[in-house]
Amino acid sequence: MTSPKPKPRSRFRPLHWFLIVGAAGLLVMTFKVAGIFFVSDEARDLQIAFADATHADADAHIQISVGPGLMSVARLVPMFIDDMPAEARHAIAALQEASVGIYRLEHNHAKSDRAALMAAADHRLGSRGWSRIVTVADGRDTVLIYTPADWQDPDEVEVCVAVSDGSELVVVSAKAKTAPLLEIMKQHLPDRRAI
Amino acid sequence: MKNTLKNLTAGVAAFSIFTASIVAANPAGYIDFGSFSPEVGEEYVEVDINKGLLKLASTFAKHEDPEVAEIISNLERVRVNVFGMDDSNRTDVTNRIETVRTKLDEQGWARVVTVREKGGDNVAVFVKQNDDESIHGLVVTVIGGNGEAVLVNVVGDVKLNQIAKLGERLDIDPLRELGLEKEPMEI
Repeated sequence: MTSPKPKPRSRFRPLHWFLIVGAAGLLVMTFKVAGIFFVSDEARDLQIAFADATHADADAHIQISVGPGLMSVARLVPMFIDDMPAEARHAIAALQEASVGIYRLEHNHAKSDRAALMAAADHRLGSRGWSRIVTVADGRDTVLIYTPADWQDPDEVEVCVAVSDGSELVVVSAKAKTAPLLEIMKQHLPDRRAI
Repeated sequence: MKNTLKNLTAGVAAFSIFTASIVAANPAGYIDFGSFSPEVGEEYVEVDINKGLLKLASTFAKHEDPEVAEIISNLERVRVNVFGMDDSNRTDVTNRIETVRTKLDEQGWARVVTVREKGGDNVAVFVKQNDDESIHGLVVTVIGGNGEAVLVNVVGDVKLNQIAKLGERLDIDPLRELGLEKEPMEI
């Protein structure tokens, strides 16, 4: 009678699994941290549209993004600050994601085609389902504001803004909950119902 | 006979879908101003607020003025164009606005306000009547004596007696001064 074959030992011991999971977590954290230094896709599209229309290189001075994860951590901060103003608390509560990019445009914007700029920005953001809601042009200054075209959710607002004076470009994109923003607004408006 | 009926039904269905899509894309109170491409150096402002954003604006306005909030919540779209005029573009802008006015007249819009000030503002306000007490849409055209031209299209069902309130909220002077309240008939 032959004895049963011993069960083959697993190649991975608990320590190995711990190291694999730890390495995977570290990799995810690395990507998350690296992602802080990039702007959102919509903000990047606006930056490219401006650079193309001005036939210039957009030299990045600042690029920073804060996603839902980091904002969740940021919302813990008011718990440790006693005298934080209510507006600041509401603003932190409202903000879900944000990214900011500041660029220097190396060529003179005044020589660019503003129509081409608007068309390029509309095309790039339009392909992502965004539409332009505000355009302001005065001299060399240009402001473009975009929101999602099919946006219907009154509880959340998304916006992407580009501001340029011809030599510098600032692009901001943000997503925020509207209820805390409403609280901020209420604090700054007189209550006419009391009259 | 069977095939004829089938083809007729398909044709009517296709026509209905086509018509519905046209209506959905262009509500009765909407007017197409065309697209604008401001040159570098020209002053230009364009605002195009869709229904979703108007709902949000209505939510924010509820606390300050519930009546205006209700008006805004019934709107479909608000579009505003402001042009800075100088010697290089005054003729083009004026012709553009006159073209819009002609288009409105041809499409059956009612001209309810006409202002011609010597050396001052040239204003025309049009409404697209829905019934005796409300409108589908409103267009304000201004060729200003201050070097600015303005086009405004408010799309949505608005009662006549709410138009002035809407002008006050949207900061549109010709609407603010407009009184289109329905006077009750004395018997």
